[in-house]
Amino acid sequence: MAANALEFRTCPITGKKVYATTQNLIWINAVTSVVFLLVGGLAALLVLLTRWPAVHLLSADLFYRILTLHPIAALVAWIIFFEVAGLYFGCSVLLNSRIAAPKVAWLAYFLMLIGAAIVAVQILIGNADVMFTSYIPLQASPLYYLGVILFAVGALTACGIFFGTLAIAKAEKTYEGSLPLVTFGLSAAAIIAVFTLASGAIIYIPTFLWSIGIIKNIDPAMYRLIFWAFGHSSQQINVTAMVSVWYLLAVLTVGAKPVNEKICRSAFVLYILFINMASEHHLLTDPTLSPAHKIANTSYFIYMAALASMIHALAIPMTVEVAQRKKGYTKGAFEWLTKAPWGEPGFPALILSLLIFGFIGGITGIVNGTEQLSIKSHNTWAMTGHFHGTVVGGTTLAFMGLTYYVIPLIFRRELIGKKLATLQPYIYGIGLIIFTLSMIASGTLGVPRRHWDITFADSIIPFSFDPTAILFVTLTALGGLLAIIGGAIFVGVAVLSVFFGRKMAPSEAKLL
Amino acid sequence: MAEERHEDFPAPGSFVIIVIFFITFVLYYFLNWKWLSMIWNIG
Repeated sequence: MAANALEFRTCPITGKKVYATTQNLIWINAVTSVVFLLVGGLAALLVLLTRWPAVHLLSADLFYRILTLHPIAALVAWIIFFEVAGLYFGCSVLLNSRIAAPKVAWLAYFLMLIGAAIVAVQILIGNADVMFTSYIPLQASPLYYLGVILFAVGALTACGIFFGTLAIAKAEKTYEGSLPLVTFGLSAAAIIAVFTLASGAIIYIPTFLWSIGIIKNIDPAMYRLIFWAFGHSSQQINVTAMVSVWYLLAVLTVGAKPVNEKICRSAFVLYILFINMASEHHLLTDPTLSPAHKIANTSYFIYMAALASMIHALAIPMTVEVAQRKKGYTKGAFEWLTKAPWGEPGFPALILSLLIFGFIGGITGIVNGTEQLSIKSHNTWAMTGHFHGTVVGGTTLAFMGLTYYVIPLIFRRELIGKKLATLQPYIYGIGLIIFTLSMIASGTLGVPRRHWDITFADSIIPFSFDPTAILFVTLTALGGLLAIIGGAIFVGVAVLSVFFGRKMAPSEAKLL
Repeated sequence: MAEERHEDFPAPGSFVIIVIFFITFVLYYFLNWKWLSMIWNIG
């Protein structure tokens, strides 16, 4: 923390300057993110073992408490702490620049940490059984909302540090030409983050005032509209950051370079302009907005963002294929893929993340977001399957893959358990494929999301699902358990390597 | 007159993957409309 702001080393692999202040900030944010992933993963295990009728572990009260904690830890804290580490990497290391206002960056970190800790504690002690969405009129304790606000302000400050560092790098001419594609993508993520976090402030500040009695009434429909400008847009930050990480993993694993950078950059611009339209998916069954408004946003404008994803979805395998073909893997249509470095954790993480995000999360997202089709899947487990395909199979897996390179390159520690690290993306990815597909199938058969007991044992009016639905619920649980084992391996390898991995001398620098 | 030379598409494997993706998308989209028509009869 007390490192000299101008002290740096030059990475012998990448030739990039790694400033000590940047390295410390990346370290603390990345380590904190993994701690929250552990919390979120444990919560996931408890939720999963309760939703599985054969186990039905927790009482109803505890279930909804843990179901509130799970997304706060796994969807918000793990991912945003990691993204902040990614932003500092993108603006400082990739641009050879010192970081802007390192003390303010530490302040941002502590705001986020204190905010996240307050929120987690408030949930665990039973002061915020309001689920992730905290829909009005459900009311949590004032400290819960205050924690969310502190976290959002910290994250917003981190975005400011990112933009400030871009300005310093430009002024001090630390790089030549345009911004590197990865930094450009992270800039798009940061711009979306500013809109997202501002929306969070707009809705959480009055909700906090409502919780302490200063504001008497908040309109639930207005709350839902602005909440989702925060809630879903935060997932768009994840998508944009994930795509940037895909480009980075393509470089790190096979030395790939984009075939046409201009098209890739224009796809990121499409994200900035249109991806927030996806937030309105959550309001498709609300009576407040007109059908014309809903259809214009979610059945037309959103396709501009889908187009951007399609561009990236073609560009990334294409960059890998072109790089592999240059190495001589030209036989048939797929020798470039079969001869790829599948034995390094980064490559399967990249490909599985790409496939799960595109084939499962992406396709179901477009279908669920269609005005007419949404009525069929709204509030079913199919929705949950969709966003576990995007955020867990896509974003989390990509971030895990990158971590295996950050540990030796930035933290200069040798990986402990490299064989386990190599297996981890497969275990996690295959588990998630089973988990998400089964979840979508059971949701399509009517299984509701968020429900404590789908056997409806205490219900006055008896109801039972078709046995096929229960079969898919069981498969969801088995796939989820496999994914949790994969997640535990990641946390184990990352934590052991960061704290106990052998320190590497500069001359020993290697990718893995 | 020199004949104009067209280079081969540099990533045929990626193109195949994208075609598979597109077919999957079209099938799933169609199936969902079919399921909707089955559970929400009109007329």
